Amino acid sequence: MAEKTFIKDFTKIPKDVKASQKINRVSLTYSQGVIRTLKQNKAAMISLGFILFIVLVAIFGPIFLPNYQKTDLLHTLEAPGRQHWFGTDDLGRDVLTRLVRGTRTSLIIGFVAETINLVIGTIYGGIAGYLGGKADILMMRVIDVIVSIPQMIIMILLLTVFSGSVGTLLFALCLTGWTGLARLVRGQVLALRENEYAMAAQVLGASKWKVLRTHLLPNTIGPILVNYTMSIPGAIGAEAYLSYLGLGISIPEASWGNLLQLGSNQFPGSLWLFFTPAIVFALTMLAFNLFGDGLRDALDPQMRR
Amino acid sequence: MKKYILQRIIIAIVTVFVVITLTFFLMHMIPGTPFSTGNDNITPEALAALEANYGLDKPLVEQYLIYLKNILHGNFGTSISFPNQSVTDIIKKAFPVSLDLGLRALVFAVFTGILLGVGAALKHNKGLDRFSSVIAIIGISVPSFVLGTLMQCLFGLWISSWIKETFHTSFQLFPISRWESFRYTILPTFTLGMGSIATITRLMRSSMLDVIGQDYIKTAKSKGISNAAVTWKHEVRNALMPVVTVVGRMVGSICTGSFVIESLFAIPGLGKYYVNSVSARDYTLTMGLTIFYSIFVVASTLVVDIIYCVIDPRVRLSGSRR
Repeated sequence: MAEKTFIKDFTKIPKDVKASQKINRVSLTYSQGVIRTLKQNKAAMISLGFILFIVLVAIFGPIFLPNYQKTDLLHTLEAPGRQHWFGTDDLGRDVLTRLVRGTRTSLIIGFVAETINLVIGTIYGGIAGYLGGKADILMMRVIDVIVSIPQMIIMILLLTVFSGSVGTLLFALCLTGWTGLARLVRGQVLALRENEYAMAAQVLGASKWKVLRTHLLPNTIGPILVNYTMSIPGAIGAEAYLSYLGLGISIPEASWGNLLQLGSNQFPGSLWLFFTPAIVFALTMLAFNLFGDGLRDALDPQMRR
Repeated sequence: MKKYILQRIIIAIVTVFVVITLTFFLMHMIPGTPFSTGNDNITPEALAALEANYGLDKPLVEQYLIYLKNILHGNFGTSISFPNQSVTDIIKKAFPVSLDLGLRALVFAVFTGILLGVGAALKHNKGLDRFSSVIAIIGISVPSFVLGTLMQCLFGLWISSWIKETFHTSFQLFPISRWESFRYTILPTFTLGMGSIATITRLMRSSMLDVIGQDYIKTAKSKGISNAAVTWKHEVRNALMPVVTVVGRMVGSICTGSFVIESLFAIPGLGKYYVNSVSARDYTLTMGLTIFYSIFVVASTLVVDIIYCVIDPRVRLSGSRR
């Protein structure tokens, strides 16, 4: 009796070589795998959504709300209401309009500064790593010196000498900001340089430049992308810090930094002046960091399933 | 190891030299002299006398060499907005306060960060881990001046006034400005340390998780060593290594971080002088303090690098790789 059920449960399946050879799992390229892992990470996706939203606001917002410098002395320090959704500031300027304009300024600073750093760092690091030897040592010593200089002090110095405009801020951020990426790229290139495929390309007659451009750089793109994402909030934060000290973008121009400064000056009387930029600012910093974390996990093949 | 230390010292000296040169020539790019104020009622003779007094009539290169020589002698020049006070006097007076604040914040951040990181790694994906990631997120996404303003209101105004009303005293539990007794230091220290706590917690957590997975931890456990001893003697001690380097780098960020904190809490430290000198256009003071801060940060990073090299044999072996 027991034996019969035993046999019934385990019936022999005829051997099918073709079926056993079939690959059930869909084959994914590297980038497809990255995107799939990233999509499974809820925090990263919500962060990406928020970043996209903020970018859209920065691009299109000022078109709908252009009068960010318009003062209205009859309605100063008005609490949020139907007329002014986020209230008005000490000169009756609409906080929402200024916030939207400030978003544009701050994001421009963040993205442009880090993009310039990305380009400089990649070129410098790529060259140093590829040339190797004495040139590499010399180039890395230069970076060692630049890294040792306290970045914020140099930025304060530059903004004391030149006027606090977007251009000066970008210059100050880029003067020292590219070193981290240059080191990263150089390390990656050094690791990849000894790889067989770079050697194969060289043996087949590809020029040094071509090997660098088509083989080495694409392989270092992952960590660079993560570093880029994670350093944007750094640049935005530096602008806010400098504007708070009265060195960055000054009123009547709008940036998150000077909105926050104005808000803290009016604290705790007019809470909306402080909390609206503070919340938007903190959420943006958070979103970039969480998205960067998610991206790093997704790009790491060992973390992927 | 000697080669490594020597190399670090040379880099530090070159760095300081670059900063001095950069600062000097940048500050001299500003048009006019510090004495041309716009609505001049100053006679040309007096102006010439003033410029001669401050050595501004000599050629730029000569001024630079004189400045370099003075700095080597510890003389950073005379402040313009605080007449008769040399920059060195101001540093002597105000730097101890900044150092006090910075050290408090650093010690607070290091201890809290390490404890939170260890706790988070031991209770991986449980309550404490979540709590420490919330702290890390706040530390990363909320800038110090926003946090400081919030702290001032929450503790300095609301909670303190609640205490005053409930207990009918005039005792201010958390004063929001100045730097007098221990009570005054709590809020600034907390605010300044918060950013560093986030970094240390994250690093300590990942470093601990890394160490916990190592084979020698399994060996230690199978030898029958108690859990507490394994945690503190084997895991924490090994996981601390990366944190030490970061603490060295942190000196710089705590220095510059305290500029805002000192302004916000009205602490008479060097950072407040620095920020004021920038807005008052007191160029000699800005210049002197920029160079002083750079020397301080470079020197403390150098010291930590050397200590790290002494305690961690791996750095010694890899020598110039870093």
